[in-house]
Amino acid sequence: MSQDKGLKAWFRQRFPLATFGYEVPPHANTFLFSLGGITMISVVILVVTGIILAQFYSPNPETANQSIRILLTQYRMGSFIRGLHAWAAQIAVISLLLHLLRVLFYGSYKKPREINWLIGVVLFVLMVGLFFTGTVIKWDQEGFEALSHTIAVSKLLGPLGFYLSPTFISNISLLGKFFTLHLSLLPILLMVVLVIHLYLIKMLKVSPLPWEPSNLNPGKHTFVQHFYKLIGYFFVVLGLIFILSVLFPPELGPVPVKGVEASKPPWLFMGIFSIENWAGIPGLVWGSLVVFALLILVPVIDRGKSQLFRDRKAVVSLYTIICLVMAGLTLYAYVTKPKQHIGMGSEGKNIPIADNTKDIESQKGQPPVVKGINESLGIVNQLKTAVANKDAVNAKTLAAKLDEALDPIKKDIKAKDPDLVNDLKSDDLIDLFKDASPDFAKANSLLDSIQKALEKAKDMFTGATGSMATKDGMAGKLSAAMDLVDQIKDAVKDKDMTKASSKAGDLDKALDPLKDDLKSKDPSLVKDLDTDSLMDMLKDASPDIAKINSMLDAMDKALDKAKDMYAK
Amino acid sequence: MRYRFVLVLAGLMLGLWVAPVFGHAADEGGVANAATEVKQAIAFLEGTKDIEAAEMKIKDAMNAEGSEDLNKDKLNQALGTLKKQDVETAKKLLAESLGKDPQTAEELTLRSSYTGSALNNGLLLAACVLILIGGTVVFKVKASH
Repeated sequence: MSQDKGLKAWFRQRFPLATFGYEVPPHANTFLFSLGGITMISVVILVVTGIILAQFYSPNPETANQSIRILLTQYRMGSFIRGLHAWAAQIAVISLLLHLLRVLFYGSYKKPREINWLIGVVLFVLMVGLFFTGTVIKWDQEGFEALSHTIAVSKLLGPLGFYLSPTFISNISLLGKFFTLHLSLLPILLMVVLVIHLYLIKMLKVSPLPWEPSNLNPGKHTFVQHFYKLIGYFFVVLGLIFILSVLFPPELGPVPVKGVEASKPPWLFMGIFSIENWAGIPGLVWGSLVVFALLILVPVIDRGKSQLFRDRKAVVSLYTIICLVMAGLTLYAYVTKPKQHIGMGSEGKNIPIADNTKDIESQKGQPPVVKGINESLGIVNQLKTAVANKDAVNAKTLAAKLDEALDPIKKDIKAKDPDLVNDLKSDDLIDLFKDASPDFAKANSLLDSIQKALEKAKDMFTGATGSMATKDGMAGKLSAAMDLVDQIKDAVKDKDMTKASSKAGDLDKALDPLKDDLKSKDPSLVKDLDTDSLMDMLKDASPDIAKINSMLDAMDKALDKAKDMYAK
Repeated sequence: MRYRFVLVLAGLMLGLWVAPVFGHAADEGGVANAATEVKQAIAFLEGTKDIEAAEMKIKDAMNAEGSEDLNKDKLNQALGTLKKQDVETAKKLLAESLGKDPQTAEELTLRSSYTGSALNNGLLLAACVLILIGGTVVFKVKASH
C-alpha cells in the first residue's frame, strides 16, 4: 500500500518509465555503444541554440553575413551562443563518424540489422547535409564558394539538380532556400528517420560484440542505466562545449567576393576536396557517390553470417584501408592550394552578394547630399540586378533601403529643382514589391527614372566635371572637415586614440588643399587649423585631453567661420 | 560476386584517376574592377593564405578600372608587407586602401577571443561544474545485482 503513495508513486503511475527497464547486454552501457546517444545529445543542443540564432539571422545575401556580425559584436552572449552551436555541430559529426565506424568494424549491420544500417546511412547523409547548409548560410567566402560548388554540381546533374539551381523558384535566393533546408526540411527528416532508427534498435535489441563475450561486468544491465549515463554524457558534452565556446570562439569569414576560389571547405569535406582538385566537379560528384555506394553496400560486401573479427579479417582490412585513404586525402587537402577550376564566373555571377564597395576615400570632401546621392545610385544598381534576377525578396529589402537613403536628401534636391523630386518614386517601388508577383518591367522603368533624376541631381551639386572648385565645392569640403572634427571629438570622448589619430590624419589631408585659399581670405583662420600639432598631441603616450578638446573646439569655430565666408 | 564487386570498384577508382580529362575548365567570367581585385586579394589572404595570388591581385588592382578610387600608397605598402610575409598587416592595409576601417571592415574575418572577463570566467566555472556533475553520473551508474 505504501508503494502507491508519495511523489515517486504519483510520478511512476503517470510516467511508466519501468517499461524502459528492459535488460541490455553489459557492453550496451559502455562509451563506444553510447556514441549514437552522444550524437543525439549534440543534436538537441544544436536545435536549442539554432532556434536562438535564427532570431538574429537575416537569410538575405545582402545582409546575411552582416546580421551575424551584429550578433557577435552588439549582443553580449552572441559569440558564446554561436560558439555553442558551432562546437555542438563539430561534436555531433565527430561522434556520428565514430558511431558509424564502431558499427562498421563491429559488424553490427549484420542480419537482422541490415535495414537499420541503411537507415543509419540516411541519417549520416542528413547530418552531412545539415553541416553543409550550416556552412553555406553563414555567407562568408567559405559559404559562398560552397554554394558555388553546389550550383556547379546542379549543372552537371542536369534535370536532377533542379532544386540546387538558381533558376528554380528564381524569386527566392539560393541562400534563402538553404536556410529553409537547414532550419526545417533537414531537421524534420532527421527527427522522423531517427525515431525509426531508435525503434528498430529497441525491437532488434543491441547487437552483440564481435568477440567471445566475457563476464567481466556481471549484474543486471538495463536501458534505464544507459539513459542515466546519457544524462551524465549530456552534462559532460555541454560543459565541454562551454569551454570550447569561451576559449575558441568560432570566426566569421569576410563578406564573399566573386571570381576566386580562395578558401577550403570544413574538415569533413576535405577528402572529397582533394578529389575535386584532381578531377574537377565530376570528381567531386563521383567521389561522393562512391563513398555513398560503399556505405550502402556494406551489408552486401560483408555477407558472411559471422560477426566475429576473426571471421571477417579481409573485410575489416578493407575498411581500414578505405579509412586510411580518406584520412590521407583529408590531410593532403590541408597542404594543397585549391585550383581555380569552377571559375566562379558563371556559377557565381547569378548569386547576389552585398555590394559594399563604398569608397570613403573618394567621398571625402563631398557634401552630405552628394554622398546621399551616390549611396542611392549604388542601391539603384543593386536593385536593377535584383530585378534582372527576378529576386523579389531582395528587391523589396533594397527598395526600403533606397527609400531610407533618399529621405534625408529630398529636401536639398527640392530646393534646387522641385521637379526632380517627383521622379524619386521610392514609395511606388516599395508598393510594387509588396505584391506576391511584382511587375518587374514596371519596376525597371521606375528605377530608370529614379536613376536619371539622381544623376541630374548629382550634376547640379557637383557641376558637370565633378569639380569642387566652386563656392559650393568649398562649402562642401569645409562641411566634410567639420564632420571629421566631430568624429575626432567622439573618438577622444571614447578614449579611442587610435581612431582619433586616424581621423586627424584624414582631417589633415582634407584641409591641406584648402589652407592657401583660406589664408588669402583670413590668415587668422589657418592658425586655428593646426592639424600637425593635433596629430602630435594624439600620438602622445599620455595625451592632454583637455588641451586636445580645446584645440578641436577652436578648429570647429574656425571652420564654421570659414563656411560663413564662402556662403556670402 | 565479391570479385566482381572489387573489379567494379577498381574501375571506378580508375575512372576517377582519368577524370581530370573531363575536369571543368576555369571560366573567366569577365574583368573585375579595382575594388573587387583588392577584395579578392584579401580573400586569398584570409582563406588559403596564398600570398602569391594576393600579390597578383593587388598589382591587377593598381591598373584596373576604378583604381583612382583606391589609396595606392596603402596598396604599395601592402605589397611591401607581403614580401616580408606579414599577412596580418597586409590585410589591414588592403582594407584601408578601400577606405574601410580595419577594425570593422566586412572584408576581413571577424575574430573573437577569450578576454578573461568575469562573464567568460563564470562560463568556464559553470563548464567545470557541468563536467563534474556529468562525470559523477556516468561513473556512478553501475549494474544492479
